[in-house]
Amino acid sequence: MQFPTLEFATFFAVTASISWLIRRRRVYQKAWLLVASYVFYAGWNWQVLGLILLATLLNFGAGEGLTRVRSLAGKRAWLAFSLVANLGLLGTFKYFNFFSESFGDLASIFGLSAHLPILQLVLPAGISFYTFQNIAYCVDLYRGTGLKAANLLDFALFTAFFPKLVAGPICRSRDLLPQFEADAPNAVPDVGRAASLILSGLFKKAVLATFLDTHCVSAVFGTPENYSSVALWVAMVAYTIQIYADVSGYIDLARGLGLLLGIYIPENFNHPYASTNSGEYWRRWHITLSSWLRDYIYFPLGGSRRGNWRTYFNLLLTMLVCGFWHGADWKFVMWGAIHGVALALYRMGLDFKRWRGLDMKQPDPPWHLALSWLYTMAMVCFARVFFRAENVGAAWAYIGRMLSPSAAGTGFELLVLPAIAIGFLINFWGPDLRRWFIGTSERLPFAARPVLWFATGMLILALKPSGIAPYIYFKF
Amino acid sequence: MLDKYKPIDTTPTTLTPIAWVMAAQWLLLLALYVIFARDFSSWSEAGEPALSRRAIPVAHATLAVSRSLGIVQLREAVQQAVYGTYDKPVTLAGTAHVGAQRGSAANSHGAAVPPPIQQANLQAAPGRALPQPKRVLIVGASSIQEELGIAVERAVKQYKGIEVQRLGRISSGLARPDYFDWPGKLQELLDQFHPDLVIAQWGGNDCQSLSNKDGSVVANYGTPQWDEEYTRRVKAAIKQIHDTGANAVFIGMPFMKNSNFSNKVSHMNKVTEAACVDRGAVYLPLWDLTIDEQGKLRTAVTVDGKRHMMRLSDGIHFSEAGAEYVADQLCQRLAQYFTLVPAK
Repeated sequence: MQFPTLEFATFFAVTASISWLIRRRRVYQKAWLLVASYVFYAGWNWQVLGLILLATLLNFGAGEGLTRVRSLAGKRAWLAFSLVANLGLLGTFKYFNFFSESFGDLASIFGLSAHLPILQLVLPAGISFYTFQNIAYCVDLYRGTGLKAANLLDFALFTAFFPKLVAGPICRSRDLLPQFEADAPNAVPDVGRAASLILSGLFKKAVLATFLDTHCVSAVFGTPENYSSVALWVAMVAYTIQIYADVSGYIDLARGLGLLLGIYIPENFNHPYASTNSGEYWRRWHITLSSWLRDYIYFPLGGSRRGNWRTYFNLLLTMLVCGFWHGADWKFVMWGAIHGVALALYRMGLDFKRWRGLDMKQPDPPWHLALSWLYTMAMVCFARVFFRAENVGAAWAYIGRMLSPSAAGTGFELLVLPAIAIGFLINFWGPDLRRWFIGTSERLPFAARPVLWFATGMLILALKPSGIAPYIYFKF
Repeated sequence: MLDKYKPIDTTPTTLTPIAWVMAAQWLLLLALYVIFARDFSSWSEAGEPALSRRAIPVAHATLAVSRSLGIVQLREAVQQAVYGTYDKPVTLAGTAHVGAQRGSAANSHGAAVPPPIQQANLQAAPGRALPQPKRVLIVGASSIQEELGIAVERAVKQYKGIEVQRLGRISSGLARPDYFDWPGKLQELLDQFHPDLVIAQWGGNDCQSLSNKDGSVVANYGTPQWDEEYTRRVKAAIKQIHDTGANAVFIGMPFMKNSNFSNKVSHMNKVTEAACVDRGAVYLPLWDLTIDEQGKLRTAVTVDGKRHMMRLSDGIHFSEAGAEYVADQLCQRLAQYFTLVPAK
């Protein structure tokens, strides 16, 4: 089931109604939400339901083991078990064919023939998200900083809660478990905010991202040799906006739907395209993923505590993992490498300033900020070419053609420019616009508010181009 | 470098009575069903048989209510106004395809266009030359917009002197001209590009009721009237192509992972193939390329000596390698009907 469909709207109405009706029997309410989450997940492919059930049982068991065992050796054994189980499942279902094909490529370089099996495995939607979430759960328990689920039902719901199941955000135990353990509220919290989030998500996903994909990005990245170099530049920026609208739009929908069920889901984006350096960018973009990488990859590698060069290496390795997490393809690894190098260079700049004794707290002048913003956006857009292109070779060919002013071909559609501008406006002022909308609706009489929300929703859907571009992060 | 973990704030700013929210929710859902009645109807017809049998009467009743309130017509008008704006783009910073002079029986190079291939002449008789296409138009739905279309375009361009234009549109087909008017768009492309060969693939999104441009239903899916009307539409598309002097090639739908969907597209293929045979268009099947010896979905292909997954996880669309393989096979089959000279 995808979010902006009649099917999902019906599913949600039924789920929410029964959930609120039985809220006083909290156990039954949670069980109902869990069943609904599994029905939602099975809509993608019922065969992968067994996988999430297995992951839930293994990690719950590991969590119980980590909290009951007293010895350090015992805790390490349970942690190792959970890591092997989680990474094993992820590796098999997401990366088996990648390694199989890559091994075949490597063998052919040496003149050997290696026909390793290609598994016709379904790629379970959201496996990367809930696997990382479960790893965080177990590692936090090992470190003593996490919360243990009170029972299997709470943990299963923590893993499978459908608004955030297939595309994140990656929640920590402290985000959701206390909410599941507490009594259900007797009223629906922040309905206005929920409505504004849902409408925001609808516009970003169904209108902006779909328009940019179907009227520019898909065609240009598909056959860049047909397009002029200017069109390629525009498509690169258009994709940068498309992926932001797509991903943040889905998260907005997830947060709004969670609120309507009485659950607060953490924010995942904070004006990412306002960043003036690489470090800031990763504090603002996909916040739950970047903080996961920091806490479970970067810090265990030593973080910044083992000297400058080790810090740069740790940053690069962390971003390579980030790239690989996004997909079983060398192009994602390349994307991660670009960001890793950018982060390392940023860190080098900070270390240089400290070494020179420069005032780190002195604010940068506006011209410096403007140039820094341009540089950061250029780096982000350039890396996106690898993210979107079919493969590494196609990405380099795209970049080569982009940098050839004489490359002739079809241009780009005029409407793409205002669409890109709207994307940047949403990045800078989206939350302010949502707050204004909430304020406006709260000034209306109670009965008129749903009319305003519905009318706004219909206006948004009226602008929707034909077709819905596939959600980018479902592949992860 | 990064901010430390901060717990999220779960303190509500406002609280709204549950009964009010539920009532509003159900009223809005009802309004959605009435406004999107056409989509509900299509969904019910395209769904699993057990579900469809129950949902179709409700969907048709909702559609009737929506039509009587004028909502369907209003929505179609708004949709056409919006799509009309989106689909007539102003293009900047490029050189568009140069259109050829339109002659009644001349192609872009002034040479006489050979008559459309008759099905009886599928194989070249010894000594008889096959037509050599110079301008190829590729049209279809999501597969043509994405991997398969890209691969076919690249494969065809490898032959000497061929210009290609391609248009694929997600979720489109011949069933719903109220959603995307393929006959209109096809005519526009024929008039602008003047191809001498059109390669088309429709069907994946056509397993639903057939409607007119105004949204009125012509034939329900699964009825003999549907077969008749869909055949007429395919023949009409072939006639549109032949009237400009171009040859028409229809690509069949591949085998699908979902057995229900597979049965539907198999029927679609039979209808399309019969229409092609009747009207003298070429029909190139994909079925045999996408099924293994056990009659199941073919999982892997070998491209450049390396094995790759053939389809994406949805079991519908092709992977990059799968599309490349299929495109290569299609070109080999095309070479039985057309002269394709390798560029190198």
